[in-house]
Amino acid sequence: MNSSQEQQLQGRPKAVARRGLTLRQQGILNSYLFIAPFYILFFIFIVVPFFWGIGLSFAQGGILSAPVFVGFDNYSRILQDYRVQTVLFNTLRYVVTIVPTSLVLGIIFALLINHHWTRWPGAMRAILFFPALASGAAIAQIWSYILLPHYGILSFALTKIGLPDIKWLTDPRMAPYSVALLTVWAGVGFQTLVLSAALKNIPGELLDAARIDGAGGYNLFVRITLPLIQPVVLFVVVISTIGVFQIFDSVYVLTQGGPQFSTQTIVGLIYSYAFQSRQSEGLAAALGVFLFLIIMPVSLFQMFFLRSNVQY
Amino acid sequence: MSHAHISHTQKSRSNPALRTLRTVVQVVLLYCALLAMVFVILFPYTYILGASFKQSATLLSFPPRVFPKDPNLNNYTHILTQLPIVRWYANSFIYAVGVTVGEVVLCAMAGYAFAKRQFPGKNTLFILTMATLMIPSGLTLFPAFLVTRDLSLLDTYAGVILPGLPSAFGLFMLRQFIQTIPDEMGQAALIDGCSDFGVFWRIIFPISAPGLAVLAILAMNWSWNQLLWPLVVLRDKAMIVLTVGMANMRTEWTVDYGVLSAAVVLSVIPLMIGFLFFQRYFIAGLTAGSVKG
Repeated sequence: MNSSQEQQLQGRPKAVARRGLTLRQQGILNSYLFIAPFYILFFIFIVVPFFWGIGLSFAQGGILSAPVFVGFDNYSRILQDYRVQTVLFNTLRYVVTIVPTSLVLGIIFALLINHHWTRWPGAMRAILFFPALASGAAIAQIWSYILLPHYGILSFALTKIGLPDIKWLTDPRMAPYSVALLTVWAGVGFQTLVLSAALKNIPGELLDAARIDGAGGYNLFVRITLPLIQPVVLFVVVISTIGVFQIFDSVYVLTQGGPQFSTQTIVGLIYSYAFQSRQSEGLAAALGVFLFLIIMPVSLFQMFFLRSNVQY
Repeated sequence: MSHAHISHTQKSRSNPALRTLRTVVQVVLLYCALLAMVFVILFPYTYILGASFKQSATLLSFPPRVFPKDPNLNNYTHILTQLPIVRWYANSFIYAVGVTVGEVVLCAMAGYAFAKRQFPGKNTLFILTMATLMIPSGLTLFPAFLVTRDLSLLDTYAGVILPGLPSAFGLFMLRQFIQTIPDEMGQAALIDGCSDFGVFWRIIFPISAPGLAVLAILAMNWSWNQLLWPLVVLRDKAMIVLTVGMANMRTEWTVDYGVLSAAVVLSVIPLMIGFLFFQRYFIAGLTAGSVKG
């Protein structure tokens, strides 16, 4: 420490650094102390597992025995595993059913709530939020009772209007749609809230001007409203796609992936590889890396969106 | 809201009675649609609430009833006396409070450093941290389990809580929030002789309360409802949380829908109550938090 710095420090006795550090060094040290608790845990529970996971995907063993390097063996095994193929197909089916359905419902609900004749829009938004308060486990329990064949209220209502009694959860052709149904129910409130906030941001003058120019409801929506909320629509689509790729809770509780594997998800299969089968830890890791690679483009897009558009 | 809206209003301008009629029809249609929306959202909750008061014998009655004929509390007394639900509740509560408090404090400290302080490597570290948001939990699930096992944290509260604390999303959110606080506030306190930690604890932390509340509610909601991680870490029956207990009720025991419904109702009630009081923060938190990886 040179003399001029010491003189500077003497003027501010409170701030004089301990341990022979300059004020600047002390400031930097304090900054690291501020981030240390976060980053110690971050390193242990996120960074280490991430690289360990990638490492395990090239190895066999892990839980009981020391891992042995096997190259791309796990990857070629998962690509040949019919369960992986089924799960990817299931996920694709979830994406094409859940994402558009909840988007369309979300837009309709948002238009209804934002309509200038609608009273108590705040209360409506609160009600739409209720499903987001329940855990996946609770949602699965609720719907398992509603979807009971014969005794269930849904089957009862549908048979009353002449439709056949559908085995919602035990028929492998129907079970995926039952999962889609409850996923839409659980997520549509959030989508509505985001879309409704976007609709509120559209300047009223713009809509008025279009109305004066003779635009009807449909034209107004397609030509003015939809293009203006398009970034938010894209956001909602991206978020719900990432969400669908990671479904686990509701399926684990509702069907355990059955019947005949028809509802199993990627994360469900990772869980079953890792904790329910023997010597498949490497497969779990490889499938995890695979999942990471599939959703990476979507996540990258989301990150850039997040950087530019976060509001409170 | 039909295609022909404008032409009709033009026609009806000459006929006020027709115009009024049209408006009335539109209002009725709008409210029918709103009613249908509220019904679709609320019916499952109503139905399960009704089921939780049904007798075991009437649960599978035909035709099914929404409201029980002779409501009683048998299901509730059953789970409170026959099942360790109080223990599950306490575990969930400890877990949720631990994650919430820890995540908010850690993310606020780190967020403050990133928002207001200078240190070498700051931007690189921040960008790398944000990049980890792309890592799906499916990838880290199994190795994180191995880490937790090797630290002897299986079947402990720490094993469930600690991995939930370093949230890159929470850090991002609080950094953004703290950046909006004027620099002068911290500097004034420094000149008054406050230490760096004093500035954080006495100035930044209290001023950030609205941002902290949003993150706290997000963390509370997430940890109370989280199933996968507790399922992996908790094997001891005395340590499991409510979500795991509910999942086990369905996968391990004979399904009694009355008891299940009562458990569902009890599990949702704390968040419902919180929601009624802090609605604004809930909506802000969960809307922002939907992007949490």
